[in-house]
Amino acid sequence: MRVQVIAFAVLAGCLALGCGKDAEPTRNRVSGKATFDGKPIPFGDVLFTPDATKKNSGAQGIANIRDGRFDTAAPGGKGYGGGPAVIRVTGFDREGGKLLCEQEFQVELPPGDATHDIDVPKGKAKPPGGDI
Amino acid sequence: MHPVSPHLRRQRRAAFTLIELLVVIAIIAILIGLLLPAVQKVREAAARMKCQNNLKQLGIGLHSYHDAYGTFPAGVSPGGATGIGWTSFILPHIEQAAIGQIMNPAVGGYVTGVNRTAGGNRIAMYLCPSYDQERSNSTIDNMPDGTTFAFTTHYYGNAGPKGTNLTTGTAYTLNDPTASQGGLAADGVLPFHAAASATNPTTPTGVRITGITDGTSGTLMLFEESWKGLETGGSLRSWVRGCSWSGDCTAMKNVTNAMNTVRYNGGGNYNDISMGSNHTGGCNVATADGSVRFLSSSLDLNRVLLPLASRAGGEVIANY
Repeated sequence: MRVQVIAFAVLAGCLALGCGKDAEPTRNRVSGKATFDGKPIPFGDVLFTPDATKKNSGAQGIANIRDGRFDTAAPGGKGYGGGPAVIRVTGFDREGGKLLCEQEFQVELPPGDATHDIDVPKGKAKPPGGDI
Repeated sequence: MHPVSPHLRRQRRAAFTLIELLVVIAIIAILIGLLLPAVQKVREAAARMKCQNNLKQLGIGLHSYHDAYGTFPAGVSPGGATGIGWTSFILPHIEQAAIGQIMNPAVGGYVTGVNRTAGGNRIAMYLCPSYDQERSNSTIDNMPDGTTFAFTTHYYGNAGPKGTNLTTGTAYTLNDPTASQGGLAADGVLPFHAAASATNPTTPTGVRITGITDGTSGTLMLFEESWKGLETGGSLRSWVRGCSWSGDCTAMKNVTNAMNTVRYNGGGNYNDISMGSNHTGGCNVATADGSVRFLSSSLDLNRVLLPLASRAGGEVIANY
């Protein structure tokens, strides 16, 4: 009887723990203002890539820009792993509208949650390559 | 106490009581409740297996092409237009010779004549059953009937990594990084041009197996790009579409973004759309030796995905 109880406890323990899962990478929240030439960017997105030139790696983050603000915790966003990043900002004058700016910056972000305001200087917009 | 007469006992057992019925119905309901999610899981597992089989067939098709021509297919771009991609060149090697015979790389790009209308053929091997967006979502890919769009492909060639090699600290090679869509990687298995160049190469060349010095089993050849979120905005295009020099590329993509993250945003990231799938926890890929494996979405971008994408980067890849 005791053997059965122990066997049952072991089985129940295994079932409760389940199979080993891959460890998900850590993700931190990054939020802030996104402006182009000092004016809020109406629509677009920001991509946070760990900067490999500074030996950084980890989770890549993304956030939508809506009315000059971005937040990786908002719908459509994914948190960033932290550390030195390459930020890529793409801004439009409205949804489906004209491309305002598209620029990459190297920035230092802290290892945890961060607030970071981005201002894209004027004259840095690259026209998209026509109909693609 | 009176003994219960056999007659009375028989009468009592003649019907189930309400409680008995309710208990039985409840047990059946619980069992069905357990079963239904399992059926959905099995359905998805079957779709994933079909998807892996598609990649396997395409891997064998690409190797068959390599046997016939001595190299993997390259992108072509006659007269600067966007040419047709490897998806068109391997048709005779995946038993779609009838469509392959009507296509013509010399007619001036994928939007012209026979190449454009070939996109109306649904090629099941290019579509992953876990993702129901089977057609292009760009108005440029409309068919002559004016109402439908060309069918798309959910499998893309690995043009190579774009970014910095963590082992050597140098940038991965790109064809024309000043191009409007940020350039095409040159260090993959199916790049536009195998050697990075700053000027339009007159003859696109493909990669040979002997050029894959990182090892064919450790280099990506094909990956899925079939994740929820690509339905709108022109991320998916006609399966016929290949590449143009210093421009945009459909059939092959740079590996520079994490899985299920970046879609085409209308700016200059068309060549950088993320690989990814609707399968739980990752996506299927085919390596250059033709084998198919499932990559976890938790893989590190700079440490694993980029090194896996390069054919000659010489990186040390951590366990994956």
